Formats: sequence, structure tokens, C-alpha cells
Amino acid sequence: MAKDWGLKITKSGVATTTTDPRDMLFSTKYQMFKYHGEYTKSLVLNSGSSSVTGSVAHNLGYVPAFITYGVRSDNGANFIVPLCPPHIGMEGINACDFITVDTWADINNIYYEVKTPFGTYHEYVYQDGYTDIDYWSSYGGEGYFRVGRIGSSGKNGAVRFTGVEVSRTESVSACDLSMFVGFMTGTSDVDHIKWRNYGIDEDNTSAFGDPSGRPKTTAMTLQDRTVPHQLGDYVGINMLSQFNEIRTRNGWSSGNAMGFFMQELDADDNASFGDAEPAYSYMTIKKPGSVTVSFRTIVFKDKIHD
Amino acid sequence: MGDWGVKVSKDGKDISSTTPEDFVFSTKNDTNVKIVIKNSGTVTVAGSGYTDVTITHSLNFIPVTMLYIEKVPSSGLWFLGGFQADGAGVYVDDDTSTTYVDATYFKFRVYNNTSSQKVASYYYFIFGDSAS
Repeated sequence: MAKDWGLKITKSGVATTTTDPRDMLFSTKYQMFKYHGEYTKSLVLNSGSSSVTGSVAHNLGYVPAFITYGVRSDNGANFIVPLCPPHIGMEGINACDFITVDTWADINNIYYEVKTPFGTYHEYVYQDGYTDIDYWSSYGGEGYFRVGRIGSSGKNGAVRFTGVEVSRTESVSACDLSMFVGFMTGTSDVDHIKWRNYGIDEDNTSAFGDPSGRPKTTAMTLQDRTVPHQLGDYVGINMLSQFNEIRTRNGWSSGNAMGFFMQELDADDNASFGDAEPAYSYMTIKKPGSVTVSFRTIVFKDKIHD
Repeated sequence: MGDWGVKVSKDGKDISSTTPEDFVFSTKNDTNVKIVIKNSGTVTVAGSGYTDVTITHSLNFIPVTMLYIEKVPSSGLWFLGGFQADGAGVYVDDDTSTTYVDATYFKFRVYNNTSSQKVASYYYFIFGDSAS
């Protein structure tokens, strides 16, 4: 005859006759994970690479239960594997620091992988417009941004970002401004706004009063687009050549402020767009970099497969 | 109220330690993870299709669970969760409408990332602790 034998310890105030496992601190009726060991592994995903793998040996001779935690070096993000969805990082216009992580086991090892599904790894610098930005416009003055034409008068805009963390020697492959549309004039998706994009050719351009007299970069790009579809949209501006001209100035240092002009062209329609501080506009910069992911795996003696 | 319970310290650690990591077991840990159900299974998934797996636990509470899956059959490589769709095998759907646990069932959907039928192996643990 089978006996109901064993050892059971319940929580304080709960009868030992309970059958609810949540009330039990310990019961020989239920197994618990048996700790085998902790293993660590750090993987570095460098610029120009799209994946890196590594392993550690657990030496159990069968596939064990395990659980892995990790931390990403550049932003301190801690995670547990599996991630769901299985990625960490920015999911922006370039998605260049978007990485996936995974671990798995066989009878000998725990394996680790860090990879990017969008080409080679780059660091993605995000300049938050809400805290790092200055606006100026010939229409509203300091604190406002507007570019385009209102009646017969062309309106120019300028924007400044502080704390730009890029050194003189880093190779920047993308610089995109995303200008928030807080107000606009003209017919959406029909009327054209045309302007010239310049950088402010200074090492560490100062806070805006009226920056219109500041020197412009040689680098200039023309832009022609229709009035945004609706308020809340973003207007994208490629400022790569202007950015790199400022970045390579002899006096440029990482952490300096950088500014840009948008100078209206006479040939546009009676249309404009703009915004006011505090701003939702932002700047993204793509540059070489690396990320280190440090894994810690707890391996249990519990077998899941031979 | 007395200081009651059972504790077993690691080799070389004093039983009077107050550091939780020093113990192999202690009833002071509220709660120790208890494995209520553990089991293995296989799931057959048609090429480019999916199959839902339903495990009945009937615990009347939502338990903590763990699922391992051999994404490429017979590869010997086992993934916890297995949500990433890369590789020539199967993966587990990360949509919470198809992969979830409730007070009665542990359910998950397995997709086949290839054009040929796959028979994938899985292993799961269901613990006697509430997930919510």
C-alpha cells in the first residue's frame, strides 16, 4: 500500500495539510532545481561585424535546464533571455544599434550569440530635442523654428543641438534631423517648400539670440518637399555633409554644440512648417562603435534531454 | 514568534550566516521554487505552418513556467523560449494571444520556418509559484 510520506514545511499560519504548493516553503512532493554552477561570458560586437558568438563548457554530458541574464555595456540595459520580442536597442530610422541576443545549450556547452539583423553594427547617437535643442526663426525669433514662405516673405529657420558626442576623428556615416511639425501653412501634400541646408560653421556655436549672421558651412544641400500631411509629422533633413564639415574643424571637440540653418528659396509656394520650444525634434547620428554584452548563466543539474 | 525553520548552508559557510547565497536550502526563502510538473513532448508542424500545443496543469492559479525547445530537430541544441525565427527549423510564437499561461493551461504556438514538415522536441517546467 502506498504511503503518503515525506517532509513538508508550510508558510507561517498555513496548515501542513494544505495541498496548495504556493503555501509550501518546502515539500518532498515537489522537486526543486538543483544548482550546478554559474557561468559568465562577454561578447563584443564591433563595427563592421553583424554577429559574434561564444560558449562556455558546463561539462554535464547531457542538456541541462538553464537560465541566462545579460547586460548591455553602452546603456546598462539588463535583460533575461529569451527577450520577447528578442531585441534591445533603438528601432529608429537607421536601426544601427538594434541587436538581438540568444543563448542555447547542448550536452557540453552553453552558447551565446549577439547579432544585428540590419547589417553591420554602428553606434546610434540620439540628440533629444526636448532637452538639447535651441530654435530660431526669422518669423518668430528665438524659441521658434519655421522655414518657408508666408505671403511674400521668406522665412528662415535655425536649430542648435548641445552636447554632440562625436569626436573629430570618428567617421560619421549618417546625420539626420527629424523636425517636428507643430504648425504649418499652405496645402498639405500639394504646395512646395524649398530651402537650402547649411551648418553653422563654428566649433561650439553659442546659444541662440539671433544666429542669422553666423558663418555658414561650404557644404550646402537643396531641399524641396511638399507641405507635411498633418501636424505631428516629422520632416527629415539629411545634414551629413554639413555635420562632417563642422566635426572636422580644428577646434571641434566631442560634447560641443552644433547648429544648422535652413534658408528659404524664393521659388517656393506660399507654404511653411515649423515648431516651438520645447521641441520634439531630434537628431540622429550613425558612427562606428562597439557594444559589449555580458552574459551570466545559471545552469541546473536538471536534465531536459540526453 | 520563534525563529523556526530548516536551513542547509554551503560547504564552508557558517550556518549562522544571514547571506541568502550562502545556503543550499532555507525555508526562510519565501518561496523556494517547486517543480510541480515537468515533462517532454514532440510537436509536428507542417511546412510553413504552425501547431498549437496545450498543456493542462489545472493548478487553479497562473504558474511560473519555463519552456525549452530544440529548434532544429535532432540538432541537440536547446533554446529557452526559442522565440527567434532564424535557423532552419521551428520557433515559438511570441504573440501573447497564442503563447501564454492561465489558471488551467500552458499554451504555445510553434511555427515552422521551413517548407518541409518538422517534428520538434520540447521540455517544460511548471512551478508551484504564481506568475501574477
